[in-house]
Amino acid sequence: MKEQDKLLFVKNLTKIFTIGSLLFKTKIYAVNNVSFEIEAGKPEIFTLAGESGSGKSTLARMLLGLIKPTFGTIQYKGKDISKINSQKEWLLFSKEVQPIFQNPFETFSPLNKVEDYLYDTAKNYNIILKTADKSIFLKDYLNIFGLSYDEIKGRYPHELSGGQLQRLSIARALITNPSLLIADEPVSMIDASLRMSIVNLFKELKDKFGVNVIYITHDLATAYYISDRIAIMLRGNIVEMGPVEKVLGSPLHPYTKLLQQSIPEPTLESRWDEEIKLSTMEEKEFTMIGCKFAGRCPEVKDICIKEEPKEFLIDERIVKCHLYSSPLVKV
Amino acid sequence: MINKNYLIRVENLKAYYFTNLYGIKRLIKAVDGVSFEIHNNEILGIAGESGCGKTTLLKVLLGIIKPPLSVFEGKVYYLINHEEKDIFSLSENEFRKLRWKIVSYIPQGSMSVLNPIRKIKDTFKDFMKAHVQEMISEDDFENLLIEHLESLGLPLEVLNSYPHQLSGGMRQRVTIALSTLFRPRIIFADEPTTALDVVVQRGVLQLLKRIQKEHKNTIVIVSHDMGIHAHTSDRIAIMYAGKIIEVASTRDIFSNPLHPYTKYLINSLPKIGDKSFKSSIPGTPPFLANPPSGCRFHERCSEVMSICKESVPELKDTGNGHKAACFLVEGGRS
Repeated sequence: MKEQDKLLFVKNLTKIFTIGSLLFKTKIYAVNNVSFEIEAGKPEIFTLAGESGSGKSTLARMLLGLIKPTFGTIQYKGKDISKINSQKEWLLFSKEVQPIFQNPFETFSPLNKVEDYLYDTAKNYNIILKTADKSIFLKDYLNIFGLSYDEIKGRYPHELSGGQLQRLSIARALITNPSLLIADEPVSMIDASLRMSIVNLFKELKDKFGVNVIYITHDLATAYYISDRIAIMLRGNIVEMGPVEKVLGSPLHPYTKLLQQSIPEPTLESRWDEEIKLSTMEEKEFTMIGCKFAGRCPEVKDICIKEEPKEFLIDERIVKCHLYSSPLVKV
Repeated sequence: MINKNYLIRVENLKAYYFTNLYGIKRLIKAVDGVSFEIHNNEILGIAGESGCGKTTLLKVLLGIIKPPLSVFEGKVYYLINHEEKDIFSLSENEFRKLRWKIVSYIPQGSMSVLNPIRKIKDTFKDFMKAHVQEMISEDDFENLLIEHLESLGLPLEVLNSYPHQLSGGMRQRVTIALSTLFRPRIIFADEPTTALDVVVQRGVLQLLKRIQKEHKNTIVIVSHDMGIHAHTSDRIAIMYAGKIIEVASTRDIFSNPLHPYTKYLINSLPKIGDKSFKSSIPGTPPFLANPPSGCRFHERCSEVMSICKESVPELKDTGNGHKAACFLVEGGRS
């Protein structure tokens, strides 16, 4: 398969931030050598999961073209997005790839009515004529998402609930008819009782409209529920990537195992008994030479501290761990 | 004879926010008729969505009642040295003596507790000066701190660090260490793990559980996450729209939830290994300035009856301390 047949093609993507003063500089690999792809014509929900500081939001911002990578390429429909330099091309790209942010109260301006926000987006992207009637457009458009125009007519963001606003911000992102949505923690601010309605909406978008979704989250339970594939990130690296049933169902990387066991499942069967080790200094983990998990890993070996692990293809997924380097290891 | 196995007893508490903005008067009934007991030696979970009044309830229990919040009705009793005390009759100065030593508090955002321009050690000292009248010498205090941190399994380097040098999980654990320094009888934790990742969250809850086991005191954890309660709480109180609608042991809540809202809360959560369709509770939580009549959940309830719209169900014991406020539990149309 050629690169042109892929919707999104990410290869060796790296972002380095330098911190400290002139004399004591530390390089932080916020995203380190990340590669993945999303195929065209086969809509899927791809989850990027990890703890805070794993680089998932930095990765999202690079995919949206908001910050430039230090190395590596991002190709969208065969076109390198770092080579976009005209306003016209940028408009075309941003029409195709739309973001959804974490806090719906920050997405909308508190001084504007929410309906204007949707209407203006449609006008700015030339989806409707400048003279088009607002209420007719919004009535038809919101109906697709099971929202009623009467519910939001003349309302300001503070008059709506977080769940309603997040639905609206998803509706707004879809005005341009994008092929890819990048949703950064879209449900973490939503109440437990309304969370599933947002998550189900993503599923519906994929099935009905063929929209691809990159779902960025630390909530592994909803990730399992909606995604097809998942990539687990740790300190800038993808440590395990593959079908979600495999990765979360029977994890291979010790870090994925720890994550999976730490999900507070709402059942009584699996109450935690063993105690776990936490990282004390985040900075240290970033600057470790070998595997970034070596300091906390229960199965750590000498090689883990000295050498960065390679990626191995095992059981339909990619695992970046020294445990799987020898062919003698049984999986 | 009063049952003396409790630590705090709440009687028909009504705490409202009264706002008067540009001539528009509003009464927000954040806690509306709540009665329950907090026992000795237990972890009590208070669950509910945002805006259900759980943080307001906590504020009142801690005696932090400042306008626009005011208590309209009801009583809160603390049991201190086998003596029942009405906390609304205590003066601010008397209450100050209870805080930190008898009652303590772990807030949501640890960054707003720790002074950003002082080392952790100095922050601890500042708290000391504000709360402890009888002076302890510098050395004694440092020994006490070191002993306490070691018993909680925290690295001693944190004492000489500034808050920004610590990770979110470590800051939260330092805050927990701070609030438990004097072995308080009861600790209130308001969403202690909301901003944390799953692994760190587990570590923080693990620490809380260990403290409870060792000190044999009481911890009240407020969280919207039923998963957290399943793993840490001994008993759970479910709040909805300013009222407690169900209280029971964690086992009973999960194996035999009685109130339709509790059932929804548990069943709407996705689990690993289960991809079956999960739906949200229909509708949205009510606005508490103008709550619905009768049972406050009736607009969203799938098993609603005509009585639910007219009268308010009482929190009734169904046996074994499992209480629920629902007409279905009382055997339908009474």
